[in-house]
Amino acid sequence: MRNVRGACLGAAVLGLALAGAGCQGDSQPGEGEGGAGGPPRRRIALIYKATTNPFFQAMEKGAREKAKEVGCALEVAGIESESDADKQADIVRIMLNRGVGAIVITPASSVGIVATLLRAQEAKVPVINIDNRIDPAEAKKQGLRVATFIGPDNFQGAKKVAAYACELIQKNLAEGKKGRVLVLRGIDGVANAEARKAGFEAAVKEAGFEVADSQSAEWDTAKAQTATGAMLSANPDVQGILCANDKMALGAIAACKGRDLVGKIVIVGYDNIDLAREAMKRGEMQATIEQNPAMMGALGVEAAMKVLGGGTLEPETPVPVQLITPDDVK
Amino acid sequence: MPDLRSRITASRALVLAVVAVALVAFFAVCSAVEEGTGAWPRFLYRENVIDIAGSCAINLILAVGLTFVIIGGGIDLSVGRLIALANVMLVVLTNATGSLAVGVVGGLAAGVAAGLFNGALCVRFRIPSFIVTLGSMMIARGLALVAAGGLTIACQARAPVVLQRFLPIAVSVAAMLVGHVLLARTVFGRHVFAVGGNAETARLCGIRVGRVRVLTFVLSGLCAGLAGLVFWVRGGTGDPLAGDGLELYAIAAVIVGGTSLAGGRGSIIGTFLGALIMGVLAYGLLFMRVPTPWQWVIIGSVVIVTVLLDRLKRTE
Repeated sequence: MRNVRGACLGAAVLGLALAGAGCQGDSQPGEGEGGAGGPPRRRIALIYKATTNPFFQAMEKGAREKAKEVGCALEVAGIESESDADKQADIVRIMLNRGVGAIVITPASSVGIVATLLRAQEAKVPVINIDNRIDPAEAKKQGLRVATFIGPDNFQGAKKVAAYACELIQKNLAEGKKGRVLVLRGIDGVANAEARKAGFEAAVKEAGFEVADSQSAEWDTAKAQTATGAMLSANPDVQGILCANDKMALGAIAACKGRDLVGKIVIVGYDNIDLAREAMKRGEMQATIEQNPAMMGALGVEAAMKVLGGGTLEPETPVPVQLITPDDVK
Repeated sequence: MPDLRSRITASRALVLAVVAVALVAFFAVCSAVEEGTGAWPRFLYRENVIDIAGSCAINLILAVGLTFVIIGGGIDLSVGRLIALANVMLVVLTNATGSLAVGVVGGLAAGVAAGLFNGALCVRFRIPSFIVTLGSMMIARGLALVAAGGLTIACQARAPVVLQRFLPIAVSVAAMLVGHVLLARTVFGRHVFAVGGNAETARLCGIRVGRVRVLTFVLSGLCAGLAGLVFWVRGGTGDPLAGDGLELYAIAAVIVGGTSLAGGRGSIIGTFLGALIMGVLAYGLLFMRVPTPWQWVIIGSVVIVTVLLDRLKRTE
C-alpha cells in the first residue's frame, strides 16, 4: 500500500511543481473556436528558436501584441538550444495535435523541418515562415508549400554592417596597408548564417580587404570567445571582427578584453540586442544591425490571420534592416 | 545467483508503471481542463499518442544499449554524439553511393566501431569507461562535423511519410524486446550481471570478463547507430549536432528504471518504464507549454523522486 501512497505523493509533487511553474494557458479563447469540421480555429502557433536569445523574445513580444490587437489566441513555444532541431520538430507535432489553425515558424534546421511541416500541410494548417528561410530546394522536392516568407535580407544587412566596419578600419589604416578581418559564422548550413557570411565576404571584397580567418561559433557567446582567442593568436595583426550575431560579438569582446584589444579592434555584430547596445555605449563594439524581430513576429501573426480568413499572401514580405551605431544608442 | 538479484521485483515495476500512468492521466486532465469543453482530451488523441511514442523512441533505444553497459559496471557517455556520427554517416554514404542500404549499414557500422573502440580501450588499458567515453564523445562530435562538412545535409533518400511516424516506434520496441531476451534469457546476459556484480568472482568462474565488457559497449554503439537511423527517419537529414545531451536523458531513464549505477543489477523492463516516464514527462511538459527552465526543474525532480520512492520501498 505504501507504494501506491508513494506514487500518489510523487504525482502530487509533480502537480505542485507544475502549478508553481504557472502552466496556465496564455491563450484566450479565440472567436470561431469550432471543433473538427467547424469553422477554422483562430488559434495560431508561433514556434521559434532559442528562448534565451533576446532577439526571439522581442519577436514573441511583437507577435503577442499583434495577437491581442486582432483578437486571436497565440501559443508560443521555442527550444532552448538553437541546434535542437529534433525538439523543434516535436513542438510542431505538438502544436498540430493541440489543434492550432496556423503555424508561424522560424526553423532551427532549414532542411530538416520540411518533413515535419508536411504534416501541417496534410492537416490543412497553413505555414507562415519568418526570419530564417525554409530551404526552398528541399521544400520543392518534398512538395511543401509555404504561405509566405517574412524575413529580413540577411545578405544586404550583413553587407551593410561589414561595409561600415571596413570604412572605420580604413580611416585608421596606414597608407598602402591592406585591412584584415576575422569572421565569426553562425551554424553552417542554416540559411541566415550562409547569407550573412556571403554578405560579410562581399563587403570585405569591395573594400579591398581580406578575411584572415573565419570560424563557426554556432551563434554562441562562449564558443565565440574561444574561437576568437584562437584566431587572434594566429592573426594578431587583424583590425576587425565581423560577427554573424551579437551574442558572438559579446564573446569576441570578452576574448579581446583578455588581450587588451578592446576599442583597438573594430567589432560588429547583428541583431541589436540590449547587451550589444550596452557594449556600444562602452565603446567595445562599433555597429550592429536591427532586424526588427518584433515587426517580424507581428507580420507573421497578421499573415496567419489573413490566410485563415481566406486571403492570399505575397510569396515574400521583406522586413527592413537598419544599421545601428553608437550614435543611435546614446 | 546473479539473475535472481537481477529480476526486477514485481512491486518495483508496479511503482514505475503507476508513475507512468499517473503522468499520462495528469497531462490528460491538464489538457481537458485547458480545452474546457468537456470533450475527450487532445493529449489522448490517437495522433498525439503515436507522437508521444515516436518522441520516446530515440531515448528508449539508447537506454537499452546503456542498460547493458551500466549493468556490466561501466558507463557510456558517447551515445548522444554517436547518434550524430551514425546519422551523418548514413546520409553521406547514401548520397555518395545512391544506395540507402549502404548508408544504413555504414551508419550502424560507425556505431559498432565506436563501441568497439570504447570497449577495447577500457578493457585493454584499464582506463575507466567514464574517461574513455568522455573522450570518444568529443571525438564523435568532431568527426560528425567533419563528415557532414560542418552543416546539416539533406538526404537523397527519404522515408515514406507513414514510416516516418511508425518506424521509430517499431525499431524502439524491437530493440527493447531483443535487449530483454538477450539480457534475461541468455548466457551472455548472465555473464553481464556477473561481471558487473563482481568482476573478480566472474573471472574465477571462468567468464571472459574483458570480452563481455567489450560486447556491452558494442551493443551500446549499435543502439546509438540505430538511434541515428531513427533520427534520419524522423527528420530526413544528416545533422552533425543531433543527439546533443541525449546521453544524460538515456542514463536517467536507465537509473529511474532501477538499474544500479554500481553495476550487477537492473533490467530492460525497468529501462523501458524509465524511458517511458522520462519521455511522457518531456513531451507532456512541452504539450502544456511549461516554460523551458521549469521543464528542467520538473524533470530533474521526477528523476530524484522516482529513485527516492524506490529507496523508501526497499528500506521498508
